Amino acid sequence: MSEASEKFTVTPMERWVGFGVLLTLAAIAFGIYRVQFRFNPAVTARQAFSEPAAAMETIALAALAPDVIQPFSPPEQFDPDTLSDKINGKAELYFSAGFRSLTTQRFALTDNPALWFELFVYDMGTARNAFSVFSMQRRGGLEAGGPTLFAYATPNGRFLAHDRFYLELVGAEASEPLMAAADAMARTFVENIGADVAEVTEMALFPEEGRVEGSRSLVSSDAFGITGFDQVFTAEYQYDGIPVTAYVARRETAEAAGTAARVVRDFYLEYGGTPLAAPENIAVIDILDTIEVVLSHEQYVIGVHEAPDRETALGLAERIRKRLQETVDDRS
Amino acid sequence: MRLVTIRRITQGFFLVLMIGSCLVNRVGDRWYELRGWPVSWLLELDPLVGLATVLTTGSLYKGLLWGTLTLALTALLGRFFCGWLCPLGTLQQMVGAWTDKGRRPKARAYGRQSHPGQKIKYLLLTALLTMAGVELVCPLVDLSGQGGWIPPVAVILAGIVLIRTGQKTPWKRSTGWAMAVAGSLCLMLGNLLPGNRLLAAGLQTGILDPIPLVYRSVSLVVLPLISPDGTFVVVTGGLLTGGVFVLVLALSAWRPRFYCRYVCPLGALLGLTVRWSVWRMGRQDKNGDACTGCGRCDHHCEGACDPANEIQWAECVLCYNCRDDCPERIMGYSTRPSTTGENPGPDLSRRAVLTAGATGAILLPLARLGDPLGVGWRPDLVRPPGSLTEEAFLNRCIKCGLCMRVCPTNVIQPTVLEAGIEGLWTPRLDFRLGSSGCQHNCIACGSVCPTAAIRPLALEERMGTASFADKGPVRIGTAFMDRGRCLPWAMGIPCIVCQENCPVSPKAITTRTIMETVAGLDRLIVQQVSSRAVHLNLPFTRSPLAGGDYFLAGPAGPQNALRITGLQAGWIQVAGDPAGAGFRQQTPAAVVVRLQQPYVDPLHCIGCGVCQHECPVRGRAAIRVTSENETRSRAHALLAGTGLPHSKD
Repeated sequence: MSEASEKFTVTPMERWVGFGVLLTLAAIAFGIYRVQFRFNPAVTARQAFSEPAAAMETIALAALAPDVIQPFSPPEQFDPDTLSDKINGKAELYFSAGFRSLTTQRFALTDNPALWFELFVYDMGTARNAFSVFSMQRRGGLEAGGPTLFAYATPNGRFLAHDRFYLELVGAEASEPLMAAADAMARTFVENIGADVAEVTEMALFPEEGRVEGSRSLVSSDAFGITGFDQVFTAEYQYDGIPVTAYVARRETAEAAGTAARVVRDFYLEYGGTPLAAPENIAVIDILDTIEVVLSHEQYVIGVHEAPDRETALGLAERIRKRLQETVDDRS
Repeated sequence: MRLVTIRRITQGFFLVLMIGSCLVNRVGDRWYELRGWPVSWLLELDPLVGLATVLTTGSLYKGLLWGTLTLALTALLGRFFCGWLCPLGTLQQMVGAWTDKGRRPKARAYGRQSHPGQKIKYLLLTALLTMAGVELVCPLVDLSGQGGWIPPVAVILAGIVLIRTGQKTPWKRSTGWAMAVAGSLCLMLGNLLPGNRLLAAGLQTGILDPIPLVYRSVSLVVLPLISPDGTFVVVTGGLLTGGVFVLVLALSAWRPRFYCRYVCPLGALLGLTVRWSVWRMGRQDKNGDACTGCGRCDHHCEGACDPANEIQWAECVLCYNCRDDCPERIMGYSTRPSTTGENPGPDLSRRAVLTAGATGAILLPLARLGDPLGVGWRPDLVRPPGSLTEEAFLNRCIKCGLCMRVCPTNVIQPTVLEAGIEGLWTPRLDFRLGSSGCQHNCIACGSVCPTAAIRPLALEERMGTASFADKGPVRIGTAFMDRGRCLPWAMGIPCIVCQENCPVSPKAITTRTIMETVAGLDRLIVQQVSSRAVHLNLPFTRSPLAGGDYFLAGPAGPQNALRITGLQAGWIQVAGDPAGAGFRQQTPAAVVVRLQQPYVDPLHCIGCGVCQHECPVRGRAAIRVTSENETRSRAHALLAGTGLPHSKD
């Protein structure tokens, strides 16, 4: 500034004008501050659409991200009314398993933003439900393993069930650095949540011998096409290269379990099955050259589906019943 | 506190306000997101936005009334908007002040003296406003319209009356002659050029208007580059948008406030308005002899308005630097005129103004020779939901970039030449560049548009619910299958990604299932059969046969094929009994694939483009959205009949 300006004296009029301008600026600032409380319709529409359900908890996904990735999109939340907007094609599967909320967010590698994955965190309410959607979507031949007991990997995805959450981390492409970041984020999530799937007790009833690794599933509804046959745990076994399915379903009472077993038996008989000779309280049915076995033991329905022969089916069912009896004895 | 300091504080305030407006323009309710922040307020304060849209549309959109306040205050106080508010002016001033530091006072003063080239901005304004308002003369030349011959003849007669009654009043005579000539011209044009395609109006002020320019530059170039929210944003034509912005700032390093002085049409409009202002800068020495001619008043002059001599009042931006610099204290801001006289300016020749107006009037008809709004419309130009008809849209869009910045999926991109030169920097949807398609539950773009080129939609209207149920959702286009690129159609590969991701209910993409023999796996011979597996002379294949979509067909034909569940050393495991299905040793077999070939239902498709975004065919997607069937245009309806959207035009 020139020498002249250093000696400049401000006239009273200029002082008043300056004061008036500053006052106007303050008024504008205050007005803007007030206006920002009147939300834009776009914001209220979004809030209305993604407002979490009463039981829904917000999960700060970005806080779980390792250093090598950064948020690529804002987090989005969906409830049962809006889930179809995100995953229309598969929504029914989640609804039938007790879906409560979904939180999603995309993350990209910091040094290569073209590589990103989207994290889907499904809050299924219970560990059983979470395991159900996890197992129903798992395909065979995929690499097992991950931060939880129930986890598997594909070249561009990581899938796991943990506590009441089912997680999918789906990458834009199969990239090792990207999947390493996804693994790290999944681990952080698991460590933050803490609990695991101890609640799923039926899982332990399937004997290890002959069981195909990673084949245990929970069918939420209408297992084997039998209407009302819900919450059925299944596991696959191999006998000379032939797959056999075993299942266990827990009911509230022994009577309810007995009723469920009769419903299953009647279903197969209705569809052309032939009853075979069997021990007491066990139904053995031949249908389309495969053997079905179903029985109830205390509160549980135990069965074997599509076995190649009667002996195999009865043997497997007996092993499950024995395991169940041991468990009950241990508790008592 | 000196007024120069107050002015700098004010400039800083509005610069921060502008950057903040762009920064928070993301959908969300946190303090650094959209909430209720008036992100378009500075644009609404810009009177050129209001004036130009009034000329093109005949109506003033609600928020643009703020511009009248700016005009009124300018008429009272002078170009305070340019010197105190305009963020682009502030940025230029910062660059100019920074580069001036290394210059000697004489060189500094030289760069801040008035220049005849400062008239260019008035000519640009004339051209732009003529372009915007040329259709206003339509009633005069449309002799087949309601008024017929009456309006032009009335104008001629009124002109003659003015000439006759205003013999001693020059302005009346001039006006009378102008009216008589204009009326005659209209009569001639109406007779010679019926249908007058020459009278096409359009809004192009946004290209040069400094407020949309700075909003556009910050939103589409600066913020994506520095990525304050950590997201990676793609912007088409970034080089052009950023290049213009950098050029504007770079030129101000050469000549301070270069853009304000030579180009800015808003500055020109305000310069014309100050002709009647009450207060003005100027020399206030009573006798006009106090000036020592030191020239310091020029050293920091922002408007190049020649304050020491006959001040170019239309150029003064009220920077107050001359008053600050004058050692004799004779510069001041007062209701009294400058003692050395003042030129309210600008001094423009009639010929220059007429040439500028004629240039503006002819440019748009030339651009529309290809009839881009009629039969030559571009189907790949998909506008945001709520956009007006293309012509009305172009008559309102000021290319500010607010809609592009607020779009949560970044699917709204600026056009470069996709909408022709006329549509430069207007918003279009690019489904590949965004992080998804256009979200059908989002109304953000219309909610921030300052001119309603994208009209604000209620969520119910967007989604076609509640009272809008009979009209259905707002459609921005329709998806079309490219069967030559679609995996199930062209290559026999199972894929239903588009169908799975279609967000509308019921889905607009349906599939028809067919069974097709897999090439190379069609002449197999059964070697051995077990209870759940078949051994075949199976060649090496990369097909994931156990994915659930592949079946083994035997003598009973494809209808009775068994689903393949596994593959192991020549053995194909199947679900079901192979012997029961007729498989025997040495019988022929083939692998068939179940394909779900997608179809688009135009009655349900809203053109959101999620399918196009998710299509696994990289590059040119196998399903693409075009603007056919868009709600905004009856002419673009795809099918005749019921169920199609109600037109807005």
